[in-house]
Formats: sequence, C-alpha cells, structure tokens
Amino acid sequence: MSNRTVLLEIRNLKAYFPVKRKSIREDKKVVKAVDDISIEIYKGETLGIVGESGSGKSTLGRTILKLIEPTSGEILFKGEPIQKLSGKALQKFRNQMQMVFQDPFSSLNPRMRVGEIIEEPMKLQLALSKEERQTRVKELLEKVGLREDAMKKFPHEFSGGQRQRIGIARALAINPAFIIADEPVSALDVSVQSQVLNLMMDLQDELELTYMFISHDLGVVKHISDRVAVMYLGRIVEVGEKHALYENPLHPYTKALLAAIPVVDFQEKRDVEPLHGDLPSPMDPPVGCVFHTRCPKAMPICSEKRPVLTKQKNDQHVACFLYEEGDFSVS
Amino acid sequence: MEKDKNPVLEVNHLSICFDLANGQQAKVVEDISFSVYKEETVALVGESGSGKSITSLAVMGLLPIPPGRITSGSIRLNGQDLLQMKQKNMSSIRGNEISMIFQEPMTSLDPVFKVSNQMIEGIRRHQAVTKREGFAIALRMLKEVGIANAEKVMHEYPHQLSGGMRQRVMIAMAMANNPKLLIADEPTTALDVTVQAQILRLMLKMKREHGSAILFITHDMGVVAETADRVMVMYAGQIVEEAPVKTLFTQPKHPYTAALLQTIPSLDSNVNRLPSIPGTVPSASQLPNGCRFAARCKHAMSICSEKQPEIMQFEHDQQVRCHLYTEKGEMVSVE
Repeated sequence: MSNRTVLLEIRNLKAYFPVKRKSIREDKKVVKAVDDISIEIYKGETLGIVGESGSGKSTLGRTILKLIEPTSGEILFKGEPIQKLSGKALQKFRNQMQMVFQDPFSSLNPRMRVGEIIEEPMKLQLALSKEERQTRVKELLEKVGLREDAMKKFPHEFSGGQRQRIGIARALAINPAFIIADEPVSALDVSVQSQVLNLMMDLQDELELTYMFISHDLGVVKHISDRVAVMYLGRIVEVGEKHALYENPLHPYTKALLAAIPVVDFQEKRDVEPLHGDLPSPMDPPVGCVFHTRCPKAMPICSEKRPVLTKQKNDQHVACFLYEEGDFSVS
Repeated sequence: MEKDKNPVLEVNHLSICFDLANGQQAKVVEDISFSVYKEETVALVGESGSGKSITSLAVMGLLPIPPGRITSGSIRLNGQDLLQMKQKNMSSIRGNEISMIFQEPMTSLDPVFKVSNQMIEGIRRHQAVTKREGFAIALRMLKEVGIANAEKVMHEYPHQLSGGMRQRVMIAMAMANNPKLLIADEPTTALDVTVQAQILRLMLKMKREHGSAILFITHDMGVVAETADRVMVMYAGQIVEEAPVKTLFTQPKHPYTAALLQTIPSLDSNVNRLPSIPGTVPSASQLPNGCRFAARCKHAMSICSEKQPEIMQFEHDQQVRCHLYTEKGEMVSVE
C-alpha cells in the first residue's frame, strides 16, 4: 500500500466546550474533548478509533461531519478544506459522508416506515424521481440483507441487528464515499454482532467505502480495521497498522488496555496488574502527558512536557517520552 | 468441585412464564435446574432475551408477579425453599443472605441519598447495630473495595462518583452483610475495560475473603473464561449446556456454544470474515416445538424440529441438551 491516496486529512483539530461557571469570579473552564488531533485517513481503508468512554472518540467523529463546530484546526476532504463550506457547497460535501449510530433503537424515527427512513436522505441530496427512489430503497434493502416487504414496516417490528442494517442502508442511500460508524455493534448480541460486522466488510469491498470505525471493543476494532488509533483524554496516544499495534504496543496506555481485555486462554494464566484509578476529568486534564497520573512508567518529564506523536518503525506513531525518535530499546 | 457438600443455591425444574396482554403466554424460562456451591463462581451466559436475568430475579424473589408466574419448580437456599416463603421472611433473606449487583450502578443507587445513608440503611436492616456502628461498617467496606478516599465518598451523592466508583459502592453494599450468595447481573457491562479488570479482580477477592458463592450473569465469554469455575449456557429460556469452564471452552458439545465461541472477534485471530449465526433468537411467545436452536443450527436434523432434546450427561460434569448425541453417539464434533 505505497500509493495510498489521502481521502481525509485532519490537522490540529480541537473541539473545546465551555463549562458553565458557578460564579462570575471563577476562571473560565473548557472541556477539551478533542485536543490537537492530526491524522490522515486513506481511501478504501478502515481506521479504527479506540478509547474508553470520555476519551473524545465520538466527538472526533461528529466534528469531522461538521455536526460539531471545531474550535480550531483544519479538516481537508479530498484536499479541500471543509470549515468554510456553507449552503450548497456544504450539502454537496455532506452527501459524501454519512454516519451509522450506536443505538439502533433511538436513531430510527419510530413514526416513519422503513422505506421512508431510507428514502429521506435521497430526497434531500439526490435528484431522483419517486419511482427511482423506490427502486433504490429496494436495492439497498437487498444489499443489507433485508426483505423487500420491510419497506412498509415500522422500526419497532425489527430486532436490534435488523435495525442496525436499516441504519446502514440509510447511510448508504446517497452513495457516500466515507462512513463514520460510531459504536455500530456495541448494542448487539455477539451472534448478531458478527453478522453486522461481516455486512459492513462486504459492503466496503463492493462499494469501495472508507470507514472510520469508533469503538471501545478492541477485539471488534482489530477485526474490522486496517489501522488503529488509540485515544486518551482527547488525544491520540498511538496510531499504527493493526498487526503492529496489537502485537507490539508501544504506549503504556495501549499496553494496559490490551492487557485488561479478558481472554479465553487456559494455557497461560496472566496476572497483570490492572491500571489504577479512573480517567481524569477532561475539564481538568493533567499537565504534561495526559496519561502520567495512571502510567506505571511515568518519569519526571512526563508531568512537565507534553509528548507529541513521533514516528517509530512500521509506520507506528506514538506520543510518549519513553520513545525518542528511533529508540526502541525501552519496552 | 466437591459435589458431596450441600449446595448454597439449588434450582430445580424452574419454569417461569409471563401472561401477555393479548392472552398469549411467553415461556421465558423452562425447566432449568442448577446448583451453586460454596466459594464457587458459576456463570450464566446467554444473549439478550435468553432468560438469564429473569432467572436471577426469581432467585432474589424480585420477579414481577403478575404478569410473571412461576409455573413449576423450586429454588432452595441452604435447603430452605424460597418460593414457599412468606414475603416478610423473604425480605430478611434478600440483601442479607443473597445480595445482588446490577448492571447499571447509576439506576440502582438512589440519587437523593448520600452513599453513607444508603449503606447504613442496608446494614441496619439486617444487623442490630447503631447508626454510628453502621457508619463504621460502611466505611470499612468502602476501604475494602479499594476506594482510597472512603471518608469523602461516604458523604457524596451517587452522581458525584464515576461509573467504576459507583460499581465499587454497589459491591461494598452487597457484601456488607456477608451474603452466602452474590448474584452479579452484568456487573461490568457498562464499564470500560481497564475499570472492568479492576472490578472483576475485586469481586474475586471479595469472594475469597468472605467465602460467598457467586452467580455471575454475563454475555461476555472473555469475562467468563477469566472468572468462572463452571458455566451454564442459556438459549431461549433453556440451559443448553453446562460444564466446567475449561471443558466448555475447549470441548463445547452444543452447536450453539460452539458457534457462540467462534463468533467472538478475538485479539489473536486473523480471519477475514467472522463465522456468524444466521437468524435471531426465537420470541418467547412463539417458541418452536422441537429444539429451540434448530432453525439456526448447521447440524440440524429432521428430528430437531419435531422433538425437544433431553438433557444428556457426559463425563467431567458436562450436560448437553442436543439430539446430535442421542442420534449419532457421543463422538460428534461440532466445530
């Protein structure tokens, strides 16, 4: 994959939210939900974003879709900056990106029939006649593995997995190039989860889609992604090709995260000390490296300076002082 | 496990059905039997709608009756039949000899009371202590579950705590009266993995120190492998397989168990497409006549849609409800 084309480029993206003060004398506070993130997404790949709740992964997805206005930074889609877009131009950009949401119960309008739900984005974005739209709805339902008569039914008549298929059909309705899937399978049972994951991978091959797959489940992310980025408190601490990242995690947080997953393995009983404490409040993140309060390898410098993402071998990037450029001696 | 001892909890042929508004009946739990022994962790695994939470509510005596109805069976705690017990006696057992940890710690803690008041109430209900002594017990329990600034947490409201902290408070409350049986209904599902690892460790530590038995309800096979001694797999209201944890993971006998184990995306597999189970769990009001898994089973035979399979006993305490073994003998591989 040497001649990869960049589909989406994010440069120094920040999304801060002001916090209501108790009194006017208090300092102004902001939650740094997304704090200085730069990343590229290549055409046709799946970029997995993992992190615990509160790490800012959903905000990142929503900011890219312009559902949240970024505080600063640039988002380039096919080389074009999208912040300045408005009106017609924004519409045009929007029909190239779609989102699949986590909760298949609340993301479908209960008072609309499934056919109408899938048709609605086409009405807004595509110049198609009513008949053409109906044919396309049928095609889409078939693509996601639902029967044609689903069109006339309401969302409550479907199970969670089927609803998620409807959500995917809606996202595909306007032929997007890029889909952000925000925890699309976490509300589903395991046996259904794998059906939906397989469907998403099949659709990607067929329609040459690019995915950004947000999840807290490292197993699922590894399965579907090509590259994985690990987020902690609004920052990307490590990003790399999935095999490199899972087999040789560099950042202490990635290591702890991987070690914390319960595994089915009776040969070697692991006894890794789990991370202590909780995620610090994003309103008041630690100075320096955001992870130093929970890091087993914290050094004095970690609480003073903020590490930046630096390139390691195998195109793996890590933001940690343990790894200065080209130094792999520490593990 | 030494089976000669008396079990802490013994459930025999329990069936529960719900009367639906349209006159139909939903058989949510049918003919399940199992035992939990002292200092043992038994996991009850199943997808949503399999009846695992209803089973645990029945053991706690918290089943909504009506519309729920226990149609047959018995639930015994140290030999006493809980189903024959008066409501008043049951409430002295609940929270005392059996306690429960729920999935969502925010909804199971009362938002208008401080942690201290909630804990003291539970302690004083079952132990003859003064408020001050109750406070001391509560504080000791909070320290035991690894809350560093326990004195401060005592005076806080649930919304001031993080998810992991709330679940610790729940565990402290549940263990405060030294229960013989702890039922944990998806205790870590709402938590992040690093916090989940802390909570699972804590539960096993509390089990060792207090000598309780744990009935662990979950859908996460990884969690099961790390915590349980014995596993029961539920599907559409029935226990389809029961085995010691290692046997279940290495030699699953029921096609559902085998398929369930294969569908989990694991960290060290490199398959391109996951094997998946087609279809969905049948609805409890429209159950098939034969085996309930038959419609999704790749080993299904003609008999499977006609007759319910019986439970069959294997070596290593393994029990399976499947026609494959009665029809084709014991040497069937379901891989």
